[in-house]
Amino acid sequence: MVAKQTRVRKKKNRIRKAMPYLLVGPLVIWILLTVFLPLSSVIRESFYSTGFVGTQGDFVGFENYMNVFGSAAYWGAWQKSLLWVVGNMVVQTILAFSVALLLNNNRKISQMARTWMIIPWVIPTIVVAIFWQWILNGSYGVLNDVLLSLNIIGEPLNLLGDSTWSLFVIIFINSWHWFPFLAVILLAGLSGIPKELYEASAMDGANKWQEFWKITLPSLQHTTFALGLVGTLWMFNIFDLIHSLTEGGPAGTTTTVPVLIYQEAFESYNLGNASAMSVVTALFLIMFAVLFVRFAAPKD
Amino acid sequence: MKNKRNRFVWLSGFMLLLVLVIAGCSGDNTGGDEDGGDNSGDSEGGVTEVTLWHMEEPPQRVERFNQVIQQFNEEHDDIEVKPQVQSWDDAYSQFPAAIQAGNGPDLLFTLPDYTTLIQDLGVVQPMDEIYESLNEEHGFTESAITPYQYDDTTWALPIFGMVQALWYRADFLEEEGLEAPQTWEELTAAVQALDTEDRNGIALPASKSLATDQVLYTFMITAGAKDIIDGDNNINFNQPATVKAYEMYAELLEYSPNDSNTYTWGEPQAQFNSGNAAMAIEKGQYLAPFEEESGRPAEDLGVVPMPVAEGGEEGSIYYSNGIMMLTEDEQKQEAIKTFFDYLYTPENYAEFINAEPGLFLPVTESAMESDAYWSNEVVSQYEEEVRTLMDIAENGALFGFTDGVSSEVGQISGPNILADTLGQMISNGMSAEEAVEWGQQQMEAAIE
Repeated sequence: MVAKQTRVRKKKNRIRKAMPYLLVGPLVIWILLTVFLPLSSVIRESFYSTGFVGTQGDFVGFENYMNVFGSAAYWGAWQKSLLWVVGNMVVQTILAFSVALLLNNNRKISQMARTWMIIPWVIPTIVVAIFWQWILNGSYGVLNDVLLSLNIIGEPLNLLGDSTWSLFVIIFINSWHWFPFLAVILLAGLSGIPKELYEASAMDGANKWQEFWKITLPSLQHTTFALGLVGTLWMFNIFDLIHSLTEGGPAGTTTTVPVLIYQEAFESYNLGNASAMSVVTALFLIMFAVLFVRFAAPKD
Repeated sequence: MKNKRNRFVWLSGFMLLLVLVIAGCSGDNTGGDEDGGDNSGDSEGGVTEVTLWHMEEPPQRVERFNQVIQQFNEEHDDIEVKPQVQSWDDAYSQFPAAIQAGNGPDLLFTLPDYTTLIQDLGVVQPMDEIYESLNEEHGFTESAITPYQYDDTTWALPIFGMVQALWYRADFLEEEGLEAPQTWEELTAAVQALDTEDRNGIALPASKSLATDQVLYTFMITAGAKDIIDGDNNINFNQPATVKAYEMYAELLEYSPNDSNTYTWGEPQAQFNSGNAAMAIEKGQYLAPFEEESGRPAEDLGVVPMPVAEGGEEGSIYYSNGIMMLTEDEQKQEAIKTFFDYLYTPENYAEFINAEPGLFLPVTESAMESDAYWSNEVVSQYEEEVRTLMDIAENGALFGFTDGVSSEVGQISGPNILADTLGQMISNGMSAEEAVEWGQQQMEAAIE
């Protein structure tokens, strides 16, 4: 009898111990299949001279990697990607903080604005691209029409086709699309800061600027850390909006790394090189993430 | 603590093993059966199914193609052709993998350079027998079939041709007392004269696109620089005639709308039809919508062959869309032969290509002479213009197919190096000589 009870108890113990693995197992397998299967395929292709997708290249060792490290186009794309990421982070941070601080109160209009504010983020990227193309169109765009009718400009601007301004213009469009997301997260963070801190600082004679730097910003450090990490990687990898608006042009001035990799694979039919570019880029991004976590993580 | 470490080691080992298994199973990207587009006999109840993928997405084309195929299916109880609309974007990024995985079609629409790319997969079937039989009966035009014939084999059958010409607003030219230009000098003079405060002399595409590639190539032909790459894949882009063509294009862009470097196919036509541009260089799609979109009578639309440079030659870009056969299944090949016999019969063929009257030009002599083709409303209204386009097609050329057949031309047309070279001039400030030299280097690197 005792032996039987022990056996049952042991069996229950085994099931109890195995249960977490059984529950998590399918998810882990799914992630491995969806992440590591494509990843292993990309790593493999980076060692082959595969051209057109679907063809079989020869094993070329590290030749593709040598091509990538010696490619002016690749490093040029990195410059544009860095400008793209920094530009987006600056513009979005300013916009998101401004809006979040402005709406961080219980006034009715603020509550309504919180809902309306997210509209740019909710709109699908392709729709964003189409209507900004229409606004900025060099021949029929609304912006040109307004500026011309106000005699601010003498002839239509071709902002998306201008090699000096196109990158800045698409940074602005992307920031307009994404800042509500940041603002919502910051608003959630702001609502968690105890009001007593502000009351106490007011008693001590702190002005609004001091409140922001000494209370608000430090209280949001976990939020800004998470946004800094995820947002940077997110922005870096944006492809759809850039490709829809300029396809990397004019003359490559908006060709960021993801756009270049796409062009290398599907327009230049050089899958091996594109795979090597992807692997090198992924390694750089992982390095960034590790360093960011190591040096920018909140201390407490 | 030790227990936890064991569990961690066990879990890590399991995950590593799984990754290795996945990597091992991922194999190469040429999996699938060797049959290419043919995944089974697909013969159900004695009916042979033939799948056809085409990339002609506009609704009127889809509708007309479906209509002709439906008629064929109704008249043939033992064959069912199943058309599926795809996109040209997917043709380059998705089709090869689908074909290799055995999920490709039996018949696939193609272009000359696309055929050379798909051939690398080893799935394109020779069509010599079908070609011989149809050619005897209907007579394919030489410029249409030549790009699909190499290595002593016919790799695809042309289905319709397209050719570029100079379109002009006859009423604008008349106002200025001008004749339609025949030389580059006359073209420049006309564009300058027609360029006013409210109107551009011409509308040209200048984005990094196939549209720009094609118009540029028409300038290169008429400058005498049509042989960009030969049958041995030697690049001959950097030559004085090419520089001359790029200089001319850049000069004309001064009289084109200032956002021309974002234009592909649609924008020049929109500018032309709205009266914002007096000229454009494009294919026959300008015919059908002209009256409705411009609000002007058909007589105000004029078309002439592309003007020629001093020392250049007559001609413009011409290419035919074709159909490749990917199935090895003999039963299906037999069904396909029956389908082509039906399709190229002038009445059916006219109905098929008049999905885009004026743009899709016939590639068989029997169709060119048939009432069925000329009785179409648009074709009959613009008969003179359509005949002009047909005449131009006789001198048509396509890069990569003028001096032998280049197996690497897709590496040049895919990344739009012709257009990108222009971009170096208008966006990066290079001179024509520098840009063309840059283009030569890009082409050499692309085919390495």
